[in-house]
Amino acid sequence: MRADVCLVLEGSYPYVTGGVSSWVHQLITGLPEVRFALLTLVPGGDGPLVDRYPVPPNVVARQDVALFEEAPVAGREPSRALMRAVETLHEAPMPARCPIMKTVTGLLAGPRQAASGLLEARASWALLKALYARRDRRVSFIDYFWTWRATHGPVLRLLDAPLPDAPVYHALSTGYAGFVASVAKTRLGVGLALTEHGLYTHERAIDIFQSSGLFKPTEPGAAPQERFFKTWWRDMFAFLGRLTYDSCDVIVTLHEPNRRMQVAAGAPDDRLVVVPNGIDPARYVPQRTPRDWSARPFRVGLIGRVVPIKDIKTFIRSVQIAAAEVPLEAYVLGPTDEDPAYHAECLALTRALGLEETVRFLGKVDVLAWLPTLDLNVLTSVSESQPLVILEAAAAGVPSVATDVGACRELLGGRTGEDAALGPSGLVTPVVSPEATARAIVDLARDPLRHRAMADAGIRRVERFYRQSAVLDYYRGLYARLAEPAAAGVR
Amino acid sequence: MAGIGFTLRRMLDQGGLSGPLKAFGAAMVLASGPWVASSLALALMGAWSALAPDSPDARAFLALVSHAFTFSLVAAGLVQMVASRFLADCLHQDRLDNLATGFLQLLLALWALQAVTAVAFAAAVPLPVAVKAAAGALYMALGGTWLAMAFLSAARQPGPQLLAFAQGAGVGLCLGLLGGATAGLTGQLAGFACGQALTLLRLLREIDKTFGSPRWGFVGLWGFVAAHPSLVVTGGCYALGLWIDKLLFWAHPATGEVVAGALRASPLYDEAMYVAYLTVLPALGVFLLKVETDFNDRFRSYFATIAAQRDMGGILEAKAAMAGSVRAGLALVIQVQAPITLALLVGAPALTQALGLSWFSVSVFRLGVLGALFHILHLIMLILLLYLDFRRGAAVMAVAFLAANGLGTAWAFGGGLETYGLGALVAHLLTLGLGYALVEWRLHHLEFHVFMRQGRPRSRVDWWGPWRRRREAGR
Repeated sequence: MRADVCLVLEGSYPYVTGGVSSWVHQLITGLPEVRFALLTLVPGGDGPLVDRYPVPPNVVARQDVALFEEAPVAGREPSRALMRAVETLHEAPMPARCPIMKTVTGLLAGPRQAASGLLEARASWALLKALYARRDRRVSFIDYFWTWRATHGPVLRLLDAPLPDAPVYHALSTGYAGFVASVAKTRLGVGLALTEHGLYTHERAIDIFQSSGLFKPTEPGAAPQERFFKTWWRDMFAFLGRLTYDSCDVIVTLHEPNRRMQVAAGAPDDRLVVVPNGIDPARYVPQRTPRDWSARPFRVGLIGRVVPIKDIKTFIRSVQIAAAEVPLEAYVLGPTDEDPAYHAECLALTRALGLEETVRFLGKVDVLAWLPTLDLNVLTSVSESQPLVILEAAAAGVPSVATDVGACRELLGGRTGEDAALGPSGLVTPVVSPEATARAIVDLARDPLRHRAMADAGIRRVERFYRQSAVLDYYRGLYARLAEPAAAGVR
Repeated sequence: MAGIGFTLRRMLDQGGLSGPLKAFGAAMVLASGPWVASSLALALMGAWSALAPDSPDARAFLALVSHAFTFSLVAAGLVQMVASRFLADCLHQDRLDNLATGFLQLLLALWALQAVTAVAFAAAVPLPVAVKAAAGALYMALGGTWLAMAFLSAARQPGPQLLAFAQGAGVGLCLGLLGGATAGLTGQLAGFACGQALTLLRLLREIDKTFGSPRWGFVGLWGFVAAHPSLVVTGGCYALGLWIDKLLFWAHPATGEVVAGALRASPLYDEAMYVAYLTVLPALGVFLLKVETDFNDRFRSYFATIAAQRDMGGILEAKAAMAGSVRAGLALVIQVQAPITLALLVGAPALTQALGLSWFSVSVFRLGVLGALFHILHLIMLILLLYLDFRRGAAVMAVAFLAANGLGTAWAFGGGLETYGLGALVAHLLTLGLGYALVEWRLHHLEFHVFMRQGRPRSRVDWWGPWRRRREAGR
């Protein structure tokens, strides 16, 4: 059956639970009249994959593509025209590569799948050697070869992947998902939209920077080579990102800081639009009980997974500082099994600071049920996109103290002028600053009126600017516009 | 065989003049031990046998023994390459426990093949059943011996193998003479077969000691053979190519004579050729001592260079060293062997007379001596091709050798006495040229095969670590 929209997903829905997956699930269930196809990119070699969400009936087609599967490759030797185009692609500077890539994509769209065959072709070997000799001839050749295989393997496999039939493609990240979406654009002329939650290219750059597995020297002192290979990987993802931006008709992101970074990464400004995520405020109305902590300790909660990126340790330290000034009960509400080592470190820190009675780790909980208990939602993450937990807390009348990452500032202070006029719904602190976080907690604990004003502002903000229904309306309209043949330039 | 080579290397390093001489002597003994032991036993048997020389029984004995050697080598050839490759793979994967079982299964397969061929051949030979049974036993014992030798090439200690051959030959000689005196042809043959069976038993014991006892179970042999069919072709064709000239000489009416039914011989050709091959022992010794170990060193060094993260320049240097060792090795073999071969060519008439060969055999002997030299050289090429894992090239070379030797010999019949042996010589030369070209071609394209055709390396980048952990957390 022909779908209306093909969603291109990498490492998320429906096989992994998380923010992006839940968002996608809400999108699909929120638009029951739209027929969706799912094109899911998975690493491969993982055995049978299990759906973590009940996939709704308006998903009419599903296609898994394994990116790193070591499947046998059948292919004839590539044509000389193709190899010339590939060579030009590799020698061209980054901005000039996108149109050349489109030429290559077109050349590889034969009935006999030729892309994966490049991994073993003699012509590829000749080109690889030529490029090595021309530019990089002093680096470790075996690592050069493996890096070529690892960077090009998924891309070539995606060029051979069957593409679901739909007039509109919607990618949920750049990277490999964005790449295969741009292939669909080149080959099938689909309308193409991109929604970026986190910035894939940016996240990969951080991973690469932190990783030590990309080049292991057999002799010490091989740092220059490590830089070479890390740069290669970073540039590869940067290219995939640029190609995606270049191919998309519309690029959606969740907040202003992201939009600025997308422009810096080469996204055309006129195709960018900010559509923040939303929630259904009505669900949180019952949680809007007035808080009165005059006769009991002030309750603060951190709702999130116990992982380093959430920086639970700063939260624990800030609780120690604040608890010296006001009576406090602190809760960490989120799964602890994703990084058991980090969880153990947090427990050790809690014990070391003598906070066993004050800070409690409750594991995964039903957030909706817990919100009425909390007086304040605290977020100490070192990196976030648009944390839904701030919206949920706001809808339930709970102000937030958050670090200045991602969308937090605009969620708590307003994105547009109209939004800001509603007043602040929380306090923003620097990252990794237990003193600042503690100061914010104490200030609000001691000022119930200010707390009340922020709670009210939060409720108004969510109901006005962060409705899930508005997000769904936007996408419904976007899909309709993109489905029309002359789809370029629509917003 | 490299295992033994390294033992020899240590001998070489002992310094002074005695070290190298001892090593070289040992190399020659190792290379030729089995042959020399058996030949010596046969020669002595011929001299001291109770059977009258040149009697039908004596001729039948020689013909049966040479047939047993010939066809057991061809049959073993079919499985020998498979065996060597299987051995190499098991050692590489550290699956040493599979080796004994694999050997047993290959041995049973070989014996099944040999039994069928023996029965078929026996039907065409009008000799007493007892004689045929003894010959058949010898045939099967020899087949098992060659297979055992292929597996034991991984062993570092050559001593037990040589001892096995010496003991077997000695016992075979004694029992053979005894049997000949008491029961004629049957007894002599059975006695000799017993000796060979003893050799086999000792080798089996060596295998048991080296690799442990076999289990019952599948070690993936048939899948292995299915994955590498070219090895069977290579082994079979090369072994057959080695003997096709003799088979044709046996069969041809002008040169062959009937011993009994299908059992034929060619006195003109057989003995001269046999001695001619004995003359290239120095070449074999040099190969074993120096050429193979040197190449092995450079070969490993090449892969070590790649793994040590050198740049392409360094890799190509290592390859040049490897290619250099091939050329230097060939040159060395020729340098050592050529003077000996030349001397034999000149002294051929005197030598053939001294050995009691017919005067007609002189030209056969001369051509055989030259041919044997080229044969050793192209055997080295074949071994190198297998080292470089160029299985298709090895198969092409083996098939070409068989065709060339067969056609060449057939053509040589037309030229009369002077050209007997010329066909084989030309075939050896052509095969050498082809083999050398294939080795050079493979070396030229070595990096392509090492990198591009070696399957997929695992991705060292785990972007999906968090993905997997989330999946597991969600479980």
